[in-house]
Amino acid sequence: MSDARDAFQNLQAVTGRGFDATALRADWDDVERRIARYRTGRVVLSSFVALAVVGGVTFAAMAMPLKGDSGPAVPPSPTSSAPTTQPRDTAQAPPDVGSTREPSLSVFGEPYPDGVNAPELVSLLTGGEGGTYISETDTTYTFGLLRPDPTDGHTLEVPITFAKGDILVMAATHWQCAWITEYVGASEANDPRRTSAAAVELEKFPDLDVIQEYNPAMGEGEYISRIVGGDTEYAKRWLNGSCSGMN
Amino acid sequence: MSAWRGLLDQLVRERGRALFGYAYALTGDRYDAEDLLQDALVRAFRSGRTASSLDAAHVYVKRAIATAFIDRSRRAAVRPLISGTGGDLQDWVWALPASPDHAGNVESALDLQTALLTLAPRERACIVLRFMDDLTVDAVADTLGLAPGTVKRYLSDARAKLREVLPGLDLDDVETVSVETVSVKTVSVQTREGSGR
Repeated sequence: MSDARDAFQNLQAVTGRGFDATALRADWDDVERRIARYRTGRVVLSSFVALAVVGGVTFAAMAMPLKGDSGPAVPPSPTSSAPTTQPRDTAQAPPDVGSTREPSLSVFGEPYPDGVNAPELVSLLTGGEGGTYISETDTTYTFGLLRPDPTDGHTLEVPITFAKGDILVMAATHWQCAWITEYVGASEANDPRRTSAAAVELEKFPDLDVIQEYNPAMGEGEYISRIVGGDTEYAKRWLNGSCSGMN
Repeated sequence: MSAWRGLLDQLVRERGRALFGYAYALTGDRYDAEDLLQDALVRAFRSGRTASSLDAAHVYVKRAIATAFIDRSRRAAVRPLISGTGGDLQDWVWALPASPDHAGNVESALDLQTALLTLAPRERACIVLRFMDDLTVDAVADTLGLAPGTVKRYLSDARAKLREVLPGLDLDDVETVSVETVSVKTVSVQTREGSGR
């Protein structure tokens, strides 16, 4: 009787020998480009955040003397907050001010978080950029996807049919990832109203009709309860893994 | 060359085969394995943090392969209903560079791969992480975002299916326990016995 670990190692070794013949090398520039794009995005985002912080500090510094001029003179308390906490107080919106914008609804009728729009279904597909919805039946969607014409290299719109359940499950995953992102953002902003609203939406996921009908296994496991239980590090890993490319 | 580019290049050069073999065991399709490996490399290297060593990067990319695979299966393997592509080990593996006992190794690899493809994606991911990656049940659960009990169920189902197809494969699952843990357990048992007398 052969040992399973040896058998798996053998499988890995045998198939691994095909690696040099794979197309990965041909696509190597693409891999590097994709990584570089993410990294550049992070730098740009960090720069915006840094600018926002600097702007907030500057604004707070300008606002404080004005307050002092118009109010009674109060000696500074030795226990007063450090200057870095001032912009946060200044920038905080009153708790009862919320967005009055109608939420964007997913294809299965559930709301997206504020500021997030439901995607076009075709855009959820790998290579679906620029594609169009063509038609649907009870069980299928047909999209026109842009593909290179093998004869002359021009781009053609090719009608391709997908199982409806697959597309709806992708839409549900996109919706779930949007709410996980919202949950993490709200938790880190110490905003209990948004946090609990996101938790309510996330807990709906296993019971969504599309999940129940097409892939109930996706609602199984402890990952949702772990996320809404406040394990934001786990939630971030989930976003980085299962939600990668979704938002 | 920046640090991450250097590490990425070294990783693909020195560990590319192992990582590709790992991705292939999960997908059973050459082209899917290539896509999976590319996605995993992007996932692993796109964050601002760069792994501290080649080994750390290797582990990170393997985890990324597993999560990307489950992610794809979670999306119900969205593919055109009429698909004209798809690789197959049988088609290309015989053309690989030969090694000692090439034929025997290839035959057993084909048997195992064929058997793996009878498993559902989650069962396959669990069994590959458990036996190819030698992860504990808890580590498999953590990697795939499942409860340990769910992983045990998938492993049990997967073992039952594999035993039907490959009765000669020893799938007895004794979790590897570190030497330190064993000695601590032994000491604690002796202490209890000693104090009870």
